[in-house]
Amino acid sequence: MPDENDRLNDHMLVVSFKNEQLKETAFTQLVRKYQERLYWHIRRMVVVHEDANDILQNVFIKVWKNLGEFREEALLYTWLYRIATNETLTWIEQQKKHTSVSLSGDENILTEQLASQKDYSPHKIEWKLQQAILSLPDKQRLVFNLRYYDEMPYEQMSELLGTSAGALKASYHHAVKKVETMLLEG
Amino acid sequence: MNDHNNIQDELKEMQSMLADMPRKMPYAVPQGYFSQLPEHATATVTAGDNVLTLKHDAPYSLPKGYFDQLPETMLAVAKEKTSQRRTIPRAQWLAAAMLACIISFGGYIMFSEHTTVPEQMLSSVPKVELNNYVQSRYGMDVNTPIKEISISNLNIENKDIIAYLNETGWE
Repeated sequence: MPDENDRLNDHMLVVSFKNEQLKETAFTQLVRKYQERLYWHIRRMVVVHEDANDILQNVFIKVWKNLGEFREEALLYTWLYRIATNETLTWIEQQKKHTSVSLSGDENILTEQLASQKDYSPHKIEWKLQQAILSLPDKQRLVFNLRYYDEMPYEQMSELLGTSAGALKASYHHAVKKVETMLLEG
Repeated sequence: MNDHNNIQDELKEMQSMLADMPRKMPYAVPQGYFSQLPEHATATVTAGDNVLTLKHDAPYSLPKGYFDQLPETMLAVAKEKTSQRRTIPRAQWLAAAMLACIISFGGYIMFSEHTTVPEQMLSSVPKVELNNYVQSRYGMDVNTPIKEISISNLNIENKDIIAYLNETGWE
């Protein structure tokens, strides 16, 4: 969650971006500031680096195209997460359509992709945790990741996902219980 | 449960085993990825939006210099479309204006006072003056009843009548 300095800094980035002479510099700074948070937000959902990279670059292309019209009614941070979330969910849906004829389910595909990751070890707790998180439905996994890893407040998550804070809280708590069960069973 | 944003406190309140687990992601990222991304992303968006989507194993081929020429091509197409959009409405407006004029003029002819003027004008003229005019112009007394027209008053010879009936039929 950005503090006051962050917000001021974001405001300056937006103002600078709208100045044609400062546009590229402001954009580079914006990418530098948010790239890791957005990257991991995407990567946790799609597992594979190349996919996360493709989605992230599409996100930044959209940012480049639309930041000029951004009115700062929402926080820049929330706006960026919204674009990244939409791009990621769209990508996941497209992948599901492509793989709908295969015998493997979505979860199996993600499990296979997880197992193909560098340094993967099925007995290590951090990999077991990832395996358990991947068993959650997409939307619930998104909520879990936003809360558990990004520490996003429910109110902000509500603004981002268009779901009530109460429903998100319930979804997160349910997800935590599912992940725990998976870890204990595994 | 509380509303503040301490994830570990929230998990502890839920008595979850996740509270004590490491939250570091185990996934690897290529070396130098984040240090290169800002410049790479900026170069990409300024060079053209479609380059990145074609970067990874794209099976399609493009004509040589496609993206070099695309901006000028698109600009020319856009200009052409814009000019077409400008001229077509003008022609349509002109046609519509002409049609409106024709309809208005026709309506004026059809529904204007011309058809009612003689009756209205005559009704406003005193009857005495009308009688005087007919008498002076045609030498007729309007008070004298008109004789019923009979074929015998027309001074037509019988042979002409027979010839006419032969041409047109007797019934």
